[in-house]
Amino acid sequence: MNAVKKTGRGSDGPLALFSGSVTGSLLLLGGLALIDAFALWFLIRLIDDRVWFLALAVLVVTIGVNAAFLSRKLYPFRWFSPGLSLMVLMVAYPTLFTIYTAFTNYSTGNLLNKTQVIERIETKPEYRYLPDGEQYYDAIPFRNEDGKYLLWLVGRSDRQAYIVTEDDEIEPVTPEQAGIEGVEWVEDGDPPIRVEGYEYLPPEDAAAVLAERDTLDYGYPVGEVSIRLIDGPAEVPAGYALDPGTLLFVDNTGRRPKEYQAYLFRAADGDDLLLYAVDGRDTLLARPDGRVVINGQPYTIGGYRMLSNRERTAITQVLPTLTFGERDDPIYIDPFSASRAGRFRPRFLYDERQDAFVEQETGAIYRPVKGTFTLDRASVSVEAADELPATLSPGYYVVVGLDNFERLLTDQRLRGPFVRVFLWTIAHAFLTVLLTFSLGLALALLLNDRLIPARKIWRSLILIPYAIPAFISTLVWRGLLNPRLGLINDTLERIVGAGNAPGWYSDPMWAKIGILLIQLWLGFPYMMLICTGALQSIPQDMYEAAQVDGANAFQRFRHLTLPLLLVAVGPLLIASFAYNFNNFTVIELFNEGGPPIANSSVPAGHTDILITYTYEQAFGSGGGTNYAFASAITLVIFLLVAAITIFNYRFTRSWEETSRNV
Amino acid sequence: MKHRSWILVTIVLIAMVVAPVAYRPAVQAQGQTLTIWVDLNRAPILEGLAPDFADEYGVEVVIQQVGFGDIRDQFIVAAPAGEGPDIFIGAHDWIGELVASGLLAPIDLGANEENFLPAAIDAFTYEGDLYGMPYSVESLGFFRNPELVPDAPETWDDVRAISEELVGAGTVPYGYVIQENDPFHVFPLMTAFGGYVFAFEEGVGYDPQDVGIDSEGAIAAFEWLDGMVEDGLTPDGLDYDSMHALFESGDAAMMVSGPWAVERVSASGVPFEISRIPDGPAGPARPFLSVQGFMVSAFSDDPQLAQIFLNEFVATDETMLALYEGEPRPPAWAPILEEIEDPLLIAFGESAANGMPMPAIPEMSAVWSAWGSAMQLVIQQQLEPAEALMDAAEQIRAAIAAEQEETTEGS
Repeated sequence: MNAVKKTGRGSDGPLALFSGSVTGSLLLLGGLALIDAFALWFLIRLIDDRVWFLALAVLVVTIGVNAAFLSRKLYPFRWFSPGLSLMVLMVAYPTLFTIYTAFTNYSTGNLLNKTQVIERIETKPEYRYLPDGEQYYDAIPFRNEDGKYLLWLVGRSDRQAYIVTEDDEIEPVTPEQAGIEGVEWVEDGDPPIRVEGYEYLPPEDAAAVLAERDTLDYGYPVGEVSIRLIDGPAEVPAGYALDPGTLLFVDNTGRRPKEYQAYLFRAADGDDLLLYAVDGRDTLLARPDGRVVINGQPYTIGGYRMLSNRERTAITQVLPTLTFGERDDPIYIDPFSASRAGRFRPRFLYDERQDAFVEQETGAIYRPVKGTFTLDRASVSVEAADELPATLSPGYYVVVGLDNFERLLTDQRLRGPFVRVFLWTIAHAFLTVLLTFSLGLALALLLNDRLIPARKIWRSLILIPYAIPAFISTLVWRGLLNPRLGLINDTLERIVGAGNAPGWYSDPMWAKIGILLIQLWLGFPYMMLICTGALQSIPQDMYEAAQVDGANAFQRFRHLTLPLLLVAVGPLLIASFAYNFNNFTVIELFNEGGPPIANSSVPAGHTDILITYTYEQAFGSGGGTNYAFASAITLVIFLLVAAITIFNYRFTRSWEETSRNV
Repeated sequence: MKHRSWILVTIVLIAMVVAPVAYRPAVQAQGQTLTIWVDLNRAPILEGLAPDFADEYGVEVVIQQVGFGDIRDQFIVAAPAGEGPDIFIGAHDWIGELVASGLLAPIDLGANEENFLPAAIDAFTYEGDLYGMPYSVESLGFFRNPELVPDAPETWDDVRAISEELVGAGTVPYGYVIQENDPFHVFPLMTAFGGYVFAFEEGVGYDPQDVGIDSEGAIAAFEWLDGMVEDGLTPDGLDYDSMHALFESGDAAMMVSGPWAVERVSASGVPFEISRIPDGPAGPARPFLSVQGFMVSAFSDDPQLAQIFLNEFVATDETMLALYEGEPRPPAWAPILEEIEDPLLIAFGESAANGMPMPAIPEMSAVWSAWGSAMQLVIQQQLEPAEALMDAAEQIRAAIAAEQEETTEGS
């Protein structure tokens, strides 16, 4: 305290906390700590997501708030720091971001950052190649007790089965490995197979053999499921019929139990039983030594056991990282497939040193050009270049300078009907303001007259269109003006005869009138409101003086009311003009800028204004979104509106001078 | 005092360091999960199936409801930020845009592919790779009021003859109704007369260099339509709702619409039947197919798990049947399609049998508005069909050329 007194205000260093009570300071600090904590948490998240611009904005705001509360010099900023913070985050940041975006190529095809794109191109399954003579396989993983893996592979081209392990090379499967040694298939036979060393037991004999054992359990090798031969109705799940004359085998491994027609074979030299079961295309072979083969594929090979679905999903992240077969030319499991494996190799690899992709077969180089890795045709022969893709997809976003603005100025497609659209944009905004203001002013004058009864009720009723959201009113009007079913044409046709009513959707002039009509409906209550307010602020004695001077009603309006009114509402009219210059909602909802202009070089409509027209060009019909180009358009439209507004303000200044003369 | 001030500053500093740590969400340590974005209608069906998958594969499926119209837009933002789903349900015409931006992983169906309708597979194929597992195929059908038109017309000439008869006798104001700015609904008529948008080759896809908007067949079809309007058999100035309103009030006898319209037409109480879209001089009408299916995010943490879910769990009779029963749409899974008995779905299925996938190539964006404008100009009697279509074709060719110039500029 003494120090403060001695050195006076402001020399106490930057800390301005301690001018108030201790409790107040503590509360302040607590609040500040909370804000800082939240901001810091937010910042960490943003930096984590690499959203640099927003992070910067948050940082600036946080430092600003801290400075305002901790520094005595910045004391006045305390009171409007909340407003200032919101302005930075909600207005300044989006504006700056839009400007930044206008100079980038951020659009469909260039939505990712460079790091993401490099990773995508290197791992993309579409950008892979199989060396000549190689094929893809469907792989089924097996595992032994040491945690080593084996793959049962079926070639997608040759349909042959192979086996490969982490250490040994790929080999065709032997009958022993497949568990089908000694088995011979008999076409249309009953039983469908013959087995060396086994004799077939017809159902009666099988029943007799089974009668001695309650069930026949093969000790199914996959731990979680069991396969049992069922010899009596008691074991059959509900809903399954059992024909007493046949043997059935029920597989409970799937989501629903599955029935097989079963055949039993007895070993010639003992009691061992071998089971073969068929259901349509699916077959099952269970050997007495515990080996089971389903659809020609065994469940155990050597010490390896096939993985269950649960075991398999648990290692989806591990399996693609392993290599199988030859060390220097291994087989991989494809992470982008449920089962595919093969000797595929990435076609394009990124070389950090030259900041370029290298095509692995030809050595062709792809260098970044405005966010897209593009083939350097000088790096390969002409024939090879023609075979290669010209660019790699996707591209990344990057600053491209003035490209978007250049396109805006030079694109033939945009320049086509541009003048027409521009003129209508101005006419639309101007007429909308003129019409709404005229009607609003007329009603305000009328309702300002004390002779009109129930003025408050009228005023309230007239405000209704203003209270209904514009997009609802527009859709209602769209229905009212429907040339076939709408109320308006229905009524008009009764007067002017069928077929003579205006084509609100097809006739360019009537479509424009329709839009102005809707704008009038939407806008006049606002104008009435502001005019009423302004009228009431004009002193009555001026009118009395004018009357004494012999001015008639029109002269009083022309020389007194109007100039004084315009002083008050002039800026609002300019704001209204600027707003309607970009009034996207009404036009898009009413007729999307239609009807179309015949013989135009680009699709455009007679009622398209700049914003709907460019929207159609930039985003039209769902073919992708060009954010960067749209930002550039926004900037240009902003500059146009700003220019027109400044021009208009010159006029208001002249009005002000008029008012000074009154 | 000075001493205390430093204590307070220390408090602020500590708060700044401690709070973020405390507020940080705990690292997720739960088991494997698979996140799926799905619209309101289908979310309950998948939620019902999720326990089965968890049971059999030990992986929890998290279903997140997102409005169908928002899925694509939200996915575009969320996926690169690492917050998107592993799998989502969408329409096949999204893939062009999503693939161009590198957001989709291709799908490997292996031998399962032969169980799907070939047209549905074609629809999800982009530049030779498959980017979606189709599950339903929709197309347009021919609606008629059986009290006015007892027998389904075989050809578009029949449609005209019936319209002339009905309008001539004063039975109805209009014979056949169509919305005036909608290429989707006019495409079957165009193909019946031999018109096309882009030349289509099976297994390869559409060729953006061969624009058929001004082909002879397309002009012939628009001349037919022009004649209908000129003779007062078809009204101008219709949008989708007013087209339906005329049919549903019995003021129009025939229209072309989709399965999505069945509910509202039934609710209107007007008698209706659906049949195959009539043939034209060039053969059967070929409506666009709108195929819906499952897509896998390129930013999925575990793409193999997503593929296992689709290939082994969804692409089965049980799941496809459950999806169909939960929301009856014509399935793309052939074994279930063969068992369907609903006569309306069968009628749509017959139209779909001749259907073509709606082009998903980016060039299509240049087509819709030019084509729609041409249709509107013809129906409004402002331009002759040949002129309107040639203008449209020029606009489309110019747009495609400009687009290609832009992409090759760099090289």
